[in-house]
This record gives sequence, structure tokens and C-alpha cells, in this order.
Amino acid sequence: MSERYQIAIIGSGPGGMSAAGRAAELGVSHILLERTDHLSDTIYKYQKGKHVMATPDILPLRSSMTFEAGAREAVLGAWDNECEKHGVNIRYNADLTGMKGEKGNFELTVNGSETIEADAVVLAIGLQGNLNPLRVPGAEWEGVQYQLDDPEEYEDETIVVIGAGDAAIENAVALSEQNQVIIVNRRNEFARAKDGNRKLIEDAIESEKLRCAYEANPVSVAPGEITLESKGGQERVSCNRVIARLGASPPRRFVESCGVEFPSEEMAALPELSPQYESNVSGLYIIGALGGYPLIKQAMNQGYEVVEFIQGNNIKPADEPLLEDKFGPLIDRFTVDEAIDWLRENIPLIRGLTALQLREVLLESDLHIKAAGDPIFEINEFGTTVFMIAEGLAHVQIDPTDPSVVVPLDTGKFFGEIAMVAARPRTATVVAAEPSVLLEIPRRTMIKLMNSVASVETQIRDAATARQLRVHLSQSISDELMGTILETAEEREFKWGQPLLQEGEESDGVFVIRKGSVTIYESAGGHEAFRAFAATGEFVGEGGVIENTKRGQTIRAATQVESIWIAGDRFKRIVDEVPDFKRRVHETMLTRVRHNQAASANEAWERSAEFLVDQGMGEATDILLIDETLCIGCDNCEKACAETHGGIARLKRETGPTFGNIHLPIACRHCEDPYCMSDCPADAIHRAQSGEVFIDEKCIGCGNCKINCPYDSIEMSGAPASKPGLLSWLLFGAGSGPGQNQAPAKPDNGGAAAPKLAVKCDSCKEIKGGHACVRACPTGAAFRVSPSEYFARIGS
Amino acid sequence: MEVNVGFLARRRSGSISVRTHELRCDVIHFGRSADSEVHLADPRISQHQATLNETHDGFRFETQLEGDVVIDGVATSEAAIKPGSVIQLGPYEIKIIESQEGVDLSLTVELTEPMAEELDELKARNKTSLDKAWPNRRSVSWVLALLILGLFLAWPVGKHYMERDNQAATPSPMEVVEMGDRVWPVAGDLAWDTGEVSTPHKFLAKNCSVCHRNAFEQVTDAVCVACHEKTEQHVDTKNYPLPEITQATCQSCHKEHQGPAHIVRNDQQFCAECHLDIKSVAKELDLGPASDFGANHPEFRPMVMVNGRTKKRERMTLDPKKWPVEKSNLNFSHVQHLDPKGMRVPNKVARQVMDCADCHVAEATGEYMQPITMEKHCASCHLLQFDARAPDRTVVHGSVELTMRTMREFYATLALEGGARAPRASSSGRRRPGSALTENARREAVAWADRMTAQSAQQVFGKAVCKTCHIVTQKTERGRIKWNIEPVTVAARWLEKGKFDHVRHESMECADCHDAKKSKKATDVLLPKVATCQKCHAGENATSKVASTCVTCHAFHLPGKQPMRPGLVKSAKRKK
Amino acid sequence: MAVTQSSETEQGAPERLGVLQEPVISSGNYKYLKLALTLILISIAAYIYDEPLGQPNGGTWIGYTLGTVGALLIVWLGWFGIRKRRYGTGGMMLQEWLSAHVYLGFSLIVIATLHAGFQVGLNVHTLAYVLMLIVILSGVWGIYLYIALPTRMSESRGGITLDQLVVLIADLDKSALGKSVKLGDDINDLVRDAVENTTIGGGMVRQLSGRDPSCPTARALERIGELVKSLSGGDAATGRQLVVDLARKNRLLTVARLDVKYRAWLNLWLLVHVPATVGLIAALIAHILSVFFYW
Repeated sequence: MSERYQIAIIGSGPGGMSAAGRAAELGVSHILLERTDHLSDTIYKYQKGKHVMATPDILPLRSSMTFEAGAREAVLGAWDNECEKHGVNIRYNADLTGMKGEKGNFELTVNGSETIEADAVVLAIGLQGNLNPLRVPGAEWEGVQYQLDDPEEYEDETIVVIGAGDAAIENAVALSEQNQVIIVNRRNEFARAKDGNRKLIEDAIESEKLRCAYEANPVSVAPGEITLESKGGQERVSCNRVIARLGASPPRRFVESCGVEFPSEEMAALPELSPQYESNVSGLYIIGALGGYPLIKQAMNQGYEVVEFIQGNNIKPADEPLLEDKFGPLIDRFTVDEAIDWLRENIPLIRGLTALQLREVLLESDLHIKAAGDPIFEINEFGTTVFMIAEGLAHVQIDPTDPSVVVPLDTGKFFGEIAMVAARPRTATVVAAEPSVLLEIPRRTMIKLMNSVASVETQIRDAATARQLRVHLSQSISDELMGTILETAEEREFKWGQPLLQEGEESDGVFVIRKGSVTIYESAGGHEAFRAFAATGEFVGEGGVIENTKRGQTIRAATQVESIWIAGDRFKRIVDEVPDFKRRVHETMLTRVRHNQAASANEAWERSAEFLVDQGMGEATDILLIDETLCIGCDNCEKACAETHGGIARLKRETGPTFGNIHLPIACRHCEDPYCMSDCPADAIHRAQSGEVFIDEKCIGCGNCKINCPYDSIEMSGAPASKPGLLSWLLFGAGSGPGQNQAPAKPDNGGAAAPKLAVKCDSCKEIKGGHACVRACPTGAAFRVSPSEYFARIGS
Repeated sequence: MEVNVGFLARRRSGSISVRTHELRCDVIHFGRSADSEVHLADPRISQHQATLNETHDGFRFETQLEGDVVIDGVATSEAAIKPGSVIQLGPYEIKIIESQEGVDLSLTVELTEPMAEELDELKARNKTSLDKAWPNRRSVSWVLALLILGLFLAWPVGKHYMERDNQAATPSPMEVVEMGDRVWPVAGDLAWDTGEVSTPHKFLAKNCSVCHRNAFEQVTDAVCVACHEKTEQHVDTKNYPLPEITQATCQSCHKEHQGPAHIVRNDQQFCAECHLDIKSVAKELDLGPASDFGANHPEFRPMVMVNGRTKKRERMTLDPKKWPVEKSNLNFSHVQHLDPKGMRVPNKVARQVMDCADCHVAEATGEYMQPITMEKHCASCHLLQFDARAPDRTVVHGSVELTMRTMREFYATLALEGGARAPRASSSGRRRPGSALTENARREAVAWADRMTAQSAQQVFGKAVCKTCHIVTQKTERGRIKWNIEPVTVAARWLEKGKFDHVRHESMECADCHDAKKSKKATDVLLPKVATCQKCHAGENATSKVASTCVTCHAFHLPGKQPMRPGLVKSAKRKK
Repeated sequence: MAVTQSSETEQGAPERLGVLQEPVISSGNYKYLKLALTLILISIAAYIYDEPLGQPNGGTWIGYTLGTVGALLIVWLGWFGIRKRRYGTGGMMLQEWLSAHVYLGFSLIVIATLHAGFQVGLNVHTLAYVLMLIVILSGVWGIYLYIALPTRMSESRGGITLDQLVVLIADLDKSALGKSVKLGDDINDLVRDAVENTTIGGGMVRQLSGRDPSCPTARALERIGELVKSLSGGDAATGRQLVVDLARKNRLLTVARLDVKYRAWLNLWLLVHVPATVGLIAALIAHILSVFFYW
């Protein structure tokens, strides 16, 4: 005879626990199944003392449990008490191994044997999934652990880290600061890891900070010792602890086994849910990260709501008030739900979304109500959001010189996608032509959308392609012509260094660079000699096409390049049919020729240019260079940086490559498509309108950006000790001088130092007059340029 | 022997790993060389560092070359060892431990002092910044700054106040001299000396606070007049209270510390400020405008004697049309005396030629000529004889009475003596010498003497002797003639306001300026016109002439005016 | 990477571009040179025009004016030391400040000389003047070094930083020891000496000369070069590798010491310039106060 409950809640994370709490409060019969012996395993496994954030701040918490940002311990402590207070019915060490049935008669198998019956099931298992244990004899030794709370906890120990994933690498490297670390990698390289992490570990191994056992496997563990097996045979390593980072098996398989469907094969895709979080399996509710709500607060709210839903009272979601004031004036016209439907109606692009997804999107987006003539954005602004016209009419001013030349966009259309896709400045000014309602969706949200809803991606991309061709080639291209162009146009992507086209090939088409930059070479004296540089918005390969000759040059990607390839005949058509474009083509060809001559005349410059491109100048927008014929090594640039940025220099003058007299110090180049932005969990890295990439106070110190930056221009650092005034240093040598730092300040309470946060060059966007480093250079050796400016120098 | 050697390796964690070797040998060699039984692979160990042999009564440890070997705490090169012994062999520690069955000796070897990390060591050794090799700029700067401020500011100021207090008033020159010279650095303020003190003040040069009495106060006039009390005004400030004068301080004209040259103000501009248009300052004065000696200077206006008897003098311009006439009651002709053929001289046959210098001799100061006196310059020729029969008898150049008495006594004597030398003396009848003179005879003799005296007086005063140079008048009282000689009042200086230095002009001929060769009368004013001076002299900016500024001839502080700072004089005195 | 860099130094730097940036001297199209010249000309004109009572000196109105200007200039020039450390403030690039600092500093020679009316003596006033000259001349020297050294410096380093050099050297030490351990005591001792006692830089003289006459590494290299000849078999091979290591270390040492040398020279002049400046300001205070104290 198996027990039966109204609600079975799987997973005691914030979502599950909150649901259970609500159920207990309402006196609904329930059971909370937790695989481990403690609540909320994921958070439990955070690093000790980790500061748990309560984002989004705007979202009100609606739960029987309390939650506010604070140290991991505090948060967990509070929850434990409250579960007790409410008399939540928890079963620990209860691993759900199977589930079948639907509303009214679910049958859950726990730990393989016992079964539990429930009317409704709330699946709140999160995405963390279950970590894979080390399956070798002796693995039960308490020295074996699967998590690393605080790397600084361990000193002078020999620690064996097993695994080659990001987690393993991060732990191993962190530990190697003050321990002897051996990382055990089953393979002979770290293929699985993020590029950043791979670099990290390989450097660490090269610099002998830690040892790596390649192609090795643990065979047995004994207290104080682990035996590894590798090609060389068995090796017994005496160690103080073993950290197994064998990854986690994603829950998707299990979830699907319960009959839940996912919209796409995209790994990031989320199961389709009703507004009540109900999956396609009736009575099976999915909340929390698995439902696409990774944030604690969201999950807790859902926990609360889902119980209410199951009880049949269809309460409004907690974000209702937020959405209401997002809609602002529109609320006079509709309720929130109506408004959402109305948006769906008017904007084809977002029809594919579930109500939940849409709510999500709306929460992160902004709704603008513009009067006729209001500007929406200016050309060359940096902005990566997409605008969708819910109602009204917008004019895209395609000719910077003459605002009257416009492309009208009416209800349902969208714009801004070029900037979003290519992470470029705005390519045109857009103004509202009529009173309009606009939905502005941030890049991150948009990308999430494109990943989970295929239709969105294709539409955006096509539109982007067409529009980019117009922007980059000529706005006067007729729709008809554009049609024919698009027939054969292809999106082509190239890896760094990969040739777009090679000398001597047939000139079959022209590349319009949509993202990234390319370098143009000519074979001279047996080697490829640098000739010119072309950045986003330019087209290359036109020469051969126009003159019907073979390719006279080799063009290589100087960065990750996204291009649009246009068939030669189509390109010629544009040249023939669009006079202004014809002119531009010839001008371009002329300048290129001039640069060729200039470049070939100056071999030093040519080689330096190659060097710079190798150093990734191609993807920079604003790069710091030092002319070593002037640099006296006073480090005033570094000091200036430190003094203007809370005592921490974001640039290292001396380190960094040098070619002849050009020196590239370690400093952020504000990449066109910043690596650091790519995976910032707190969305703390942004690009200012004027182009600076900066990190805001939302940073949680996860260090992803540091790892992702291929140019080492991000540091993890705590606040340095506060300094006395300049004069008291100058006169009496009190404290540390400009640019010199004493150890990061410990808080007075003697507790752990403030968490290390990511710091990087923000191009002094806050500082009047700009770049402190450049302005502090006494000899003018330091200067900042964009690659195009730099490469243009030679032409002039 | 059977030996167990355990190599200990201590992990950073503190855990120890042991690698054990069994040896069978007679001698154990410790060393770096690969063939030694106990191979100690540390660069600090030599190839064959030590041996361990079995002896009849145990084991002996010996070092070949004396390395640092400590056995059971004793530095030695060899010793017997037993379980429990500890051998410190360079960086290694070798412990002899109890051996189990079948083993003669077991020992553990541990590298207790592993080599420091080369990198850290190297970094520690390197000194790559100057600050580390040299006192840093901050400290050097401080030392320098404090040194300077102390030595050149604090000390002098302090010293100034110390001295000022025990030196109450402005001391007199002699007092200053008695103070003696102060020397730097004891007298710190000497380092403040801005430049050489003017010659007359040199004796003050090393006693700054004599003049610089109060901090941040310019040197006061009181200080100056304490010595220069007699210095007089330029004008009578009662009639002419000119601000330029009344409000000026000594300093405004007299700049000290400018070297010897510059203590006196000598720029003509300074005078010209008033004298260019002197009427505007004092219209009632008859001064002419003056601003530049060469370009704008009035004609000389000598003080001329207009009435010898009343001694009345007047300033008169050297106007060719009415040249001033000096009424000095003297008769003198330069022409006669300078006659190139020369002049007859008493008792001499040859004529004597004279020139200026025979009479006009410069004073010791060189500026002016000594006064001309009868006795010095005239008497040698002008013998004052009165009786042709006695040419050797002369009267003294003096008063009329004296002259008369001299002559009377002479004739009376003659008469009394009688004899041929007294003709027509009636009383001179034949008479035995020594026999008493009769009453009559005596009366006759006196009358005769009187007659003779009167005759000679006629001759001396009326005709030849005195009249040559003097103006002689006579009147008759009760039949007796009374002679009178007008007093001679030759001017000592005609141009009193300016000074002229004859000696400095000695290269010139007197005649260049004084036209004496034509002068027949003593009334001639033999002065050159200003034009004559201007032949050689011009204003201070002159290039082709002698640049002469006002003070070359004129003084600023004029005699006869009231003292510069009467009030201060008193106060300065009071201080003394 | 380390290796490529070291080989980089051994090849010598690749051909270089011309100066990419405008050097201090010509900064702002000689703006401050012109300013300074104007200042100088005005001062000279004023000096010539004025006919003071007595000799021209600090006491005439021109003297007072020039003195005030000079004093203000000195304070302003000294302020550079603080200005260059007050980062992110003010609109002007530090380069411009330096340029102004240099040229106006020059003009001070004329202004101060005219202020003094060419008078010198053994007094605090001349002391200040002399200190000023020292400051300015050391400054000129500094400018020369700033122009002359950077190119040589970057050429000699060939793109490696001193720290990297030190690391490379330490690596070589390690590998040298690794080899010498296998060899005879004589060689081993030499290597140990070279490892334990070789220093980069050191005292003033060592840093400025950029060489170490008694460098243990050089000694070791020389001696071991001889000693290895007598080795045979495997040892001979190890010995030769050892010599290679030492030779490379020696080369890197030369580079490192050269770098230290340049750094030292780039700082040396400041050891004069800065203290002299502070001294000058002190003397200036003494000068001004004393002049008015004994007015």
C-alpha cells in the first residue's frame, strides 16, 4: 500500500520548497522529495560565504518562504527554519527514478523501489541535474568530494582533480594557487572545455603551476592516496583530497521520459508550458530553471503560484503589476493578458512564443510610446536592442546626409536587428513617423528567443541580411533587384585566418562583411604581404568581378567573420543599375590601390600591420598602442588607470607583445563582438552608446569574462586598501603611491575579504576628457586608435 | 653488510613518503656521483662527500673532504655512529634508526634544506631600480629643503632678533666700528646681502641690523639722519613745501647695496623735473630753466661787488652788452703785470716776466685759488719807501696811523740827532755833542719832524706808494690832513652755487677761460661764459663731449637751509 | 613562447617604423616654444626699456615684475610633479603639460637672469639662482635621455620585459643545475656559483654601467668552456649542453643588464631634478622673505 498525496513536489530547490511551503500553509496534503539529505542542493553547493543575489530586483517575491540577497549560509538557514515552521512534509534521500500517469493518478517511483501516488506533480528539479559520482573502489573516502566551496580553504595540500570539464579546470587552477594539484584528464587534450578555460589550464600546465595526467583514469581510492592508470602503467599518488568533477547528466532525458515535449532539439530549448506552468502532460507542472526561470526569486514565485493553480484559483502571476506599469498608458486600453495577446496579434515575429515566454520577454523588454517625430535611435549609437513596431509607423533615415530619404516601417515590422546581430553601432537613424507603440527587446533576451524559437531566428536573419546589404551597399537597391540578389546570396562565416578567397581563384562573387574584419594580402617575394584592411560594412573581392579577372589577392578573416556572399553577376547588376553605388565601387577600388602602393612601399609598416592583425587588432574597436620610440617606461599610464579606477589598473604597460617600436600593452580593445559579454550570468557587461564595453555593479565575480577574454585584459580583484591623499604620500611617503597597491582591504569585522569582482578597462567613459592612460602619458607614446584609423594612416 | 636506506620526501601537506632501498656492500658512499650507494642528487653535495664503514665495534662515518658535517650536534669530519645518531650532511639529514631482523644498519635520508627556488632567489638578489641603490628623492629633498630654510631663513631671522635686542639705538659710526666685523655663518643674515655697500658706508657692511632695524620695514630716515644730522635741505621747505622733497625719504634717492658708484643720485632728469620749468615751482625766483648742461643751461650769474664800501654784492649775468663790473676798490692791471717784456724790479737790472701762477696758486683741495696777499705776492716788488734819502726805510702794509707814526718817529729821530742829515733844522746850531738841548731847539726839532712827516705822507698816500693799488681819500681837520684808504673787497668766489676744480683742468691754459691779457682794470670780471664750458662739457647723455650731469657742479643739499629731518635728528639723538 | 621571445632577442629587433606619435618637443606644433619665446622677448624688451635709479636688479619695478613672474613660474613648474599624479583631471594631455614644462622652464633662465640684473654674489639669492640653473639643466639632460634612450631600450629588449628575462634566466639556471649535478665537482661548483651569485643590477654603478665585471656566470662560462674539453662520452655531451645553457644565460644577462642600465639612466636625472627643485623652492622662500625682511 503506497502513500498518496494531492501534490508531489520533486526537488527542494527554491521553486519546489516554495511550492511545498505554500501547500503546507494551505494545509494541502503534499510531499517534497529531495534527492540529497538537505534542502536546495544547488545553492547548498555554492562556494562558502558566496553572496546569493535576489535578481531581478524589480520582481516582487511572492512565497510563503522569505528570501533576500545574502550569504549562502543565511539564505539556507532561513529556509530550513521556515520549512520546519510551516510543517513541510519533506522526504530526504528520495531520488525520483520514474514517473508515469497524468492528472489524478500519477505514480512516482522513488529510489527504484517504493512508489508514491499523487494527483498532481510539480517538477522543480532545476537544470543542475545530478552530479556523476566517482565510481571506483574506495570512493566513499571523505577525502573525495564533488564540489569545491572555497579554493582558498586549502593550503599546501596535494589535491587530485578528476575531470576535464570547465568545473574541473576552474577548480584545479584555483586550487593550484596554493596547493600541489594534479588534474586527471581521460583524454589527451581539454576539448570539452570553453576556449577560455582551455587556455587557462594549458597555460597553468605549461607554467608548471599544476600537473596534468593525460589519458589517465582513476582506478582506486584509499584514504590519503589515489591510484591512477595511464599508458605508463599504474601510479599511486598520495594526496590529501580528491575532487571529482565528472559533470552532471542533463535532466532533459528524464523529463522527456515523463512524456514532456520540447519545442526544438536546441539544448537550451525549454519545454512548452501553459500560463499555469502545466506541461503537455496534464497535471504535470514544471517550474524553476527547467521551466526557463533560472532565478531564485522567479522559481519561488512559481512554486507559490503553481500550488494555487493546482488548487484551481487562477491567481495573477506576481509579475502582473510589473507588466502593468510596463504597458503604462496601454493599460487604459487592455488588461495585461489582452495587451499580451494584442502584441502577439500585431507582431508576427513573436507569435511563436508561449504566453509564459512572452511574459518573460516583456519583463526584460521595454515598451515605448512615441509621438510622431520622436527619435528612436541615432546613427552610430551603440545599442544592441531590437525594436518591434506594435502599432504605428517608423521612418528609417537611410541617407545620413539627407534625413528626408527614408524607408517606412509599419506595424509588425522590426528594426535594430543589424546592430543586434553584428553588435555594431546603429547603421541608421530611426524616428517615429506616427504615434507608435514600440517594443524594445534586449540582445540577450532576443538571443534566448532565437535559440528557443526557430522562426524568430530565420526571420531576423533574413531581414537583417536584406537590410544590411542595403546599408552596406546602397539604399537605392530596388526590392526587385534585392529579391534576385537574395536568391543566390549566402551567409558565409569564416574562422580567424581562414581565407575568404585566394589569389588565382575564379572571381565568382563579392563578400560583404557583416561582422568582423578582413585583411588583404598580395603574394610578394614568395610570402603573403599585407596590403589592406577592411572592416564591417565594406565589401571585398569586387576587383576581380568587375574586371573579369582571376583573384589578384588573398583575403583572410582577421577575426571571426560573418559575411554575405553575392554572386558576381548580381553584384555587376547592382553596379550597373545603381549609379551612386557604381561611384562608390570605383572610389573603393581606387583607395585600395593607393593603400597597396603605400603598403608595398613600406615593408616595416606592412610587417607591423601583419603583426597587429595576428594580435587580433582586427576585432578591436579601440586599441591602446605604445610607440616605443617615445615610451620611457614611467608607467604613468598604469598609475593613471589605477588612480582613476578605484586603485586597480586595468592595463599592463610592460607585458604584451611588441613589434619593432609598436607595443601592444595588455588592455581592453573593446572588441567589436566582446568575448567577455558572451557568457555573463549576471548580465553585468554592457556596451555603452559611445562604444565602451564596461562591467557594471551587477558583477557577481564568477570570472567567466576573465576566462573568455583572449587578451587577458580582465582581472578579478577585490577593493584595494584605501590610500591617504596624494600629498601625504608625496611629502611623507604615507601609504602607497599612485598605481601601487597594498593588499586588498579586509573588512573591519575581520571577515572574509570582499568578493573579487571582474575589472576591466571602461575606456574612461565616466571621465571627462577620456582615456586617462593616454592623457597621462608624458611623452605621448601611448595612443588609442580604431584599426581602420590605424590602417588608414599608411594610405595618407 | 645489509643496509636499509629510506629516502624521505616530505609533501607540502606534511605527509611523508618513503622510498626504500636495500643495499649490500662493505662501504656506503654518500655523494652526488651516480655510482655512490647513497646518491645525494643535490648540487651542494660533492661527488664523493662521505663514507660509512663497518668497524669491529660498530659503524664509522667519515667525510672525505671537510664539508659541513655535524654528527649528533658536533661538527666533525668523522665519528662512530649508532642507532639514534643524526648526521647533518650539507642539506641532508641522515638518521640512523633501529633496524629489524637481518639488517645491520638502517638509515633514513632526507633533504631538509631543499634548494630555494632559483627564480625567487634571483628576484631577491636583483636590484633593478635606482631607488633601491640610492637614497630616495623624498628624503634627499627634505634634507636639502630643511637645510636651506634653516641656514638661510630661520637662523638669520633668529639671529636678527637676538642682536637687535642688545643693541638699543642706532649706534654712532664709532660705536659701529667698535662692534667689530660679523662673519657668516655666525651672522646668518650676511647671506642676505644683496650687493656691495657704497664706499662711505663700507664700515657698516657687516652689521646689517644697524640700518635694517625692523623686519619688513624699509630702512627709515631716522637711521640715516642719526649720522647725517647736518645734511640740509635743497630748498627752504617753509616757503617751498614741495611734496617731491617733503615726502621723499632718504632711500628714494640714495640706493644702498649698489656697489660704490650709485649711492648718490646723479641723473639730470631728477633735477630737470623741477628746474626745467622752475618758475612754475617758484615764480618769484630769478632762476633760469635748466635741464641739460649741454642743451639747456642758463648763463653764469656771478656774485659781483657793486659797492666796495658797503660791500654790496649782486648776482649778475655775464652779459657781453653790460658785462658786470666788480667794485673791489683795487687798482690792478693784469696787462702790466703780464707784459711779455717783463717788468722792472727794484734793485735789479733785469726785467722780470710774470705769469698767472706767480700769484694764483691753487688751494690744497685743488678746487680754488689761494687768496692774493700783499705780503706774499706784491711786497717783493712794491717796496713801501717814504723817503728817497733813506731808501732802505719802508712802512708796514697796514693801517694809516701806523704808517704815520712810523714816519714821524723816523724824522723825530733825525731831528734830535741833528747833523747834516737834517738840513734846514734851525735848531741845529753848533753845539758840543752831549751838551743839553735848549727849549727852542727842541721845539724846532719837533716842528721839523712834523713838517717832514706831512711832506712824506703827501708823497706816500697822495702820490706814489699806496695810490698805486688803493683808492686813497683825504680830508682836513683843524688844518691837519687825514688820509683814508678804501678797503679792498676782492670776491673769494663769484660762482657760489657751482663748484669748479682748477687742478682737474690744469691741462688747460688759464687764458683758455680767463682773458687776463687784455684786462687793464681790476674791475674786470674775468669769468668765462657758460659757452666756454660747453665747448668741452655737455649733458649726461653726451657722447662727443664730457658727459656732465647737474651734480657735477651743483650740490643738492644746499648750505643755509634747515636740516633735512629736524624732528628725526632729535629723536635719533634721544636714542643715543 | 618563452623560447620564441628569447630567440627574438638573439636575432635582434625587426626593422622599425618611424615615430607614430608626435614627440613632446614638437607637441601642439611648438605651441609652448612660441609661448616661451614671447615671454622671453617681452622680458628682454621690458628690461632694455627700463632705466632704473641705480643698477637694474630685483628692486626696480621691472625687477619686481620679473621676480613675481619667475616665482609664479617656478611654483607652476613644480606643480607639474603633482599634476602628473592627479590623474583623470583637467582637459590638457600630460604631454602638453610636459611640453609647457620644458619650454617655460627654459624661459625661466632668461627671466631670472634679468630679474637679477646679471648680479651674482655669495648670498641666498644667488643660491636660489644656481639651484634653478641646476634644475633646468638637469631637466635638459632628462629631455635628452627621454629622446635618446627609449628607442635603444626597446631595441635591446626586443619585446621581452625584464621580468620575463629574469624568468628565462631562472629557467636556464634550473636546467644548468640539472646538468651540472651529473658532472664533476669543479664544474658543478662553478655552476652553483653562477646560479647562486649572479645578480642583475645592483649598486648605483652596476646599474648605470649595465655590466658586472665579476659576473659569476661569465666566469663559469669561460672556465667550463675549458673544462668540458677534458670530458668524454655522455658527460661531454651534457657538458656541451651546459655550456650552451650558460652561453644563453650570459646573453640574456647582457640584455637584462642593458635594460636595467637604461631604466637607471631614465631615473638618474630625476635624482637631481626633483631634490634640486624642492631645494629651489625652499631657497625661493628664503630669498623672497629675506629680501622683504631687510627691505
